Amino acid sequence: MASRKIRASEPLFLQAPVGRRYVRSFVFARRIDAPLAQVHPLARALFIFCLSAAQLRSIATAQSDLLGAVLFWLLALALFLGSGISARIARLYFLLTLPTLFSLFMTWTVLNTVPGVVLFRLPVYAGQLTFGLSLWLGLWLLIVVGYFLWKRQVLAGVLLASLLTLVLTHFWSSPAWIFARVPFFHALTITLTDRGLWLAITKVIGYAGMVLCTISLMISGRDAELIGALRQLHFPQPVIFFLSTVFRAFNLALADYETIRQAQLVRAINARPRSFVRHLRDLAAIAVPMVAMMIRRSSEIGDALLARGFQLGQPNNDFYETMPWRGIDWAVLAVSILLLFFALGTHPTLTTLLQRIV
Amino acid sequence: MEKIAALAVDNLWWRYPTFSDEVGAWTLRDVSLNIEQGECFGITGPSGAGKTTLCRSLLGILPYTARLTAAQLPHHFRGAITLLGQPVTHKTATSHQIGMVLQDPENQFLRMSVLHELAFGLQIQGLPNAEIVQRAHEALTWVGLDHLWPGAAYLHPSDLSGGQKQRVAIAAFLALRPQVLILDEPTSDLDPVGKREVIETIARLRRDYRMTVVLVEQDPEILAAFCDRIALLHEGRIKLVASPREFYAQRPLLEQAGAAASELVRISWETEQVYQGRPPLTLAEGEIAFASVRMNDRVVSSPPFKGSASENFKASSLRNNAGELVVQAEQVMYHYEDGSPALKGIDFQLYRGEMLALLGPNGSGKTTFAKILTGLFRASGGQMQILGQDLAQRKVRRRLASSVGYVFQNPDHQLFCRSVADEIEYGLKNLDVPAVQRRETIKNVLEAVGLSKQASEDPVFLSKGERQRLAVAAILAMGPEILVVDEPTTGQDYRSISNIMSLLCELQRRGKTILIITHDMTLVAEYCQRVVSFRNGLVAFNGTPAELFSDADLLAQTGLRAPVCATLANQFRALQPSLPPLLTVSQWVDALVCQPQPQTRIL
Repeated sequence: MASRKIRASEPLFLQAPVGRRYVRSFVFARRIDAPLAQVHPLARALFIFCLSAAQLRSIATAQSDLLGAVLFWLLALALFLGSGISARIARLYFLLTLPTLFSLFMTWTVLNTVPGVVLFRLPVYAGQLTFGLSLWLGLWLLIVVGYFLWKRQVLAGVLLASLLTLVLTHFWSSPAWIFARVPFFHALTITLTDRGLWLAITKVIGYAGMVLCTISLMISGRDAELIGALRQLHFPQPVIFFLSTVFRAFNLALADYETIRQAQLVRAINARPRSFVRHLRDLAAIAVPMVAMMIRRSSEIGDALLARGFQLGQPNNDFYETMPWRGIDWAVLAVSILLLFFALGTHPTLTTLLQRIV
Repeated sequence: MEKIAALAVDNLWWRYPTFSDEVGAWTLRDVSLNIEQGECFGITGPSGAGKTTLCRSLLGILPYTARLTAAQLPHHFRGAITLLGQPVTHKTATSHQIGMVLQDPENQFLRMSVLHELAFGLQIQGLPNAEIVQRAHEALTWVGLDHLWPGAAYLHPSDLSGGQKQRVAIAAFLALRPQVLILDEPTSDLDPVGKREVIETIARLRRDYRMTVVLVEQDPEILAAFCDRIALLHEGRIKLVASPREFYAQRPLLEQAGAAASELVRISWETEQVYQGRPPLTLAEGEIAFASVRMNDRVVSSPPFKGSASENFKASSLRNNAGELVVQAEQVMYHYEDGSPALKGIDFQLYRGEMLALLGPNGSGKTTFAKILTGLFRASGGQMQILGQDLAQRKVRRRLASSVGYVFQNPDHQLFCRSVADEIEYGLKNLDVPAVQRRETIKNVLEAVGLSKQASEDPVFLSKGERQRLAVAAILAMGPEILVVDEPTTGQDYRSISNIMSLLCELQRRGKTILIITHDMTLVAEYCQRVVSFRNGLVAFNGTPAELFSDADLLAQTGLRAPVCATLANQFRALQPSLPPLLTVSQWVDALVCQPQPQTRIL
């Protein structure tokens, strides 16, 4: 199969093309000789499933395990590095993941109060809604309107006005006229405790590990491998073929999207700053050519299938799609079972064990 | 004993079901054909004539996938089709006796690697793996892609150029070795050399395996060279079935239907100089039919370049010497995501007001360069200046749409609105053009492209030629000084090509600078003043069409093929070097008709 270790004795069509280091996978591309790709796709998927389960156990709120989360994260990082991801794509994922993990950290720190030693406390809502007028409200409105007239952007204007108003009201109190105070909900206070911080760090590490696992699986997998694995599992032929066609159709849709997006760019959609609403409308406009292309393509793909002699229920033999189950796959399976024990077994957490030793 | 026909069509009528109560027009009307076993049967005709519908019927896709009830069927389908003596049914398509290669290779690339794509049909047939490998490799070699075999399991469709995908699609069917192979405009995306190679391969296989080939094609040279008989389909009816010799002698019928005729045939039609009482079809026949050109002293002493592209070039080249440089590229490089180079250092100049052809074999980097030029891609290295502005600056690239327009190959990728007028307005709105000016521009542009009457129509309901013109109009409305047009004639019929090229010439006359990416050498000879040819990411040639097409070494170096007119002139010039390089039909006609006494040669 395509992801087996390359050997000179293998037929030419299974050897890596000269000068080519990467091969397309489910998302983006992976190195042809990536270590993770040498493992059978089923063993790979099972391993990542078990590792994710162990990570989930380590970040359980009732019994969080920071040491376990760190160890599993290291294992996930090793998988990620062995997935054959290119440095550019890795950087891109890092940049995309960072804000998500940061917001997760803030959410757990701020909104989930865990009993413990209080490190920080900030009342944010007094439990009542105040209706009135203030000089700063006028200033806020002025900034929003002014920014819109200048840049034709609403959202950025609202953010800027809110930020400026918050800063200014912190230093200067402005005249305000209160009309009414209506009790609503209950008072809210941001409280940061030592155990809350500990739990938030554990959660972020655990989720980061799971993200790395998922990316590794997607980057290292190819559709031919999946088809082969499903064939080995004796999935019905129509299901296998349907999945294969879905992958190809998705690939075509992506290529169409890219061309259509380029066609929009040459029609000057980026010529000047645009509002969020305009961006949404640009995206909606893509639907017109996308739908037209998809309808045409689906009809022609049907014709192409028929022309090739395809019919449902017809046997379709394996052709260099399946990978043999080898020694390394048994080893991966053994580690997966160990991870499953960490996920489901009755045992003290690694952090607790370390504390006992220390 | 009566010989069994490979395909027999008897009084076939077909109309597509509609979504409303109104009954649609017949797409095929009383079609009757008899295609013999081992024959190469050509079908030609203008866009919308029903060629693809006929192919789908021959394969049994129609009417059996149209989900018509027994009561509905007679209202949509009449007549009979037989394949090798057996009636065509819903099982015919999957019988492995007949295969069909479609026009768009993307839609028939069903798997995610070249190896599995080639093997797909053979897997369905249940052949042993060793035989699949042998047949797949053989088929890939036949279509000239043997170099893709090492690592074929790793080659994704996105790694291939359009031409390579087309060849793989053809190879996938050749590997199946069906008894009847239908090819629906299979070479429209290929470069001229590749086109010839693929058709020659199919012709060879036809001989070796006695395969029957039905070839739907617009290219008259391909039809004349490879088909035993050609059918003219027009408005759903078969107007003519004849051998190429007789077919291209029917000038009124072909002109009325808008069918393309080869350059040799067009010269013959215009000059009435014939070979054995009919228009010549091959170079050898052309040499005999038009031999009188060598006896014409006026041609030999002063080339009659009246109204030709070369005349424009003379004017243009005068301009160019003192002309304004609108694009200046120095050592432009581009690398794909995986690090492989697409452009390896391109030096390129474009002068104001010229029409330049960017040529090169499939995958040579033409479209990549054009996308850098229009700001869609960012060069990995080198410098590019457009109208004096450096493209390395992000701000310049963002504003480039108002000075450089890019018309994509497929109009369906670039039409975003539900009315023709809105489509024109889309770009203008993005440039913040005031409403009054927008209305004025829409009116003018639609007039210029001849779509004023369709202003309120949905672009979906326009013909492909009209959609192509609308795509040009939508870019034109934004007032770019430079227009880049990618393969404007691919898959279009003769009339559509003439219309789109007339439009581009008109734009050039109005002062626009035009860059055309094309594989159509006839178009280059007729319309372009200068040629830049890429090969393997480098500039292989920069000069005039005459310089390129009259030099066999240059053609070999660039991997291109001269149009027939130029090739014929080259053959005469080998005997008489004083003869000028005659590149176009009009030049040949001028050269032949300005003789003292034009004579018809019947041999």
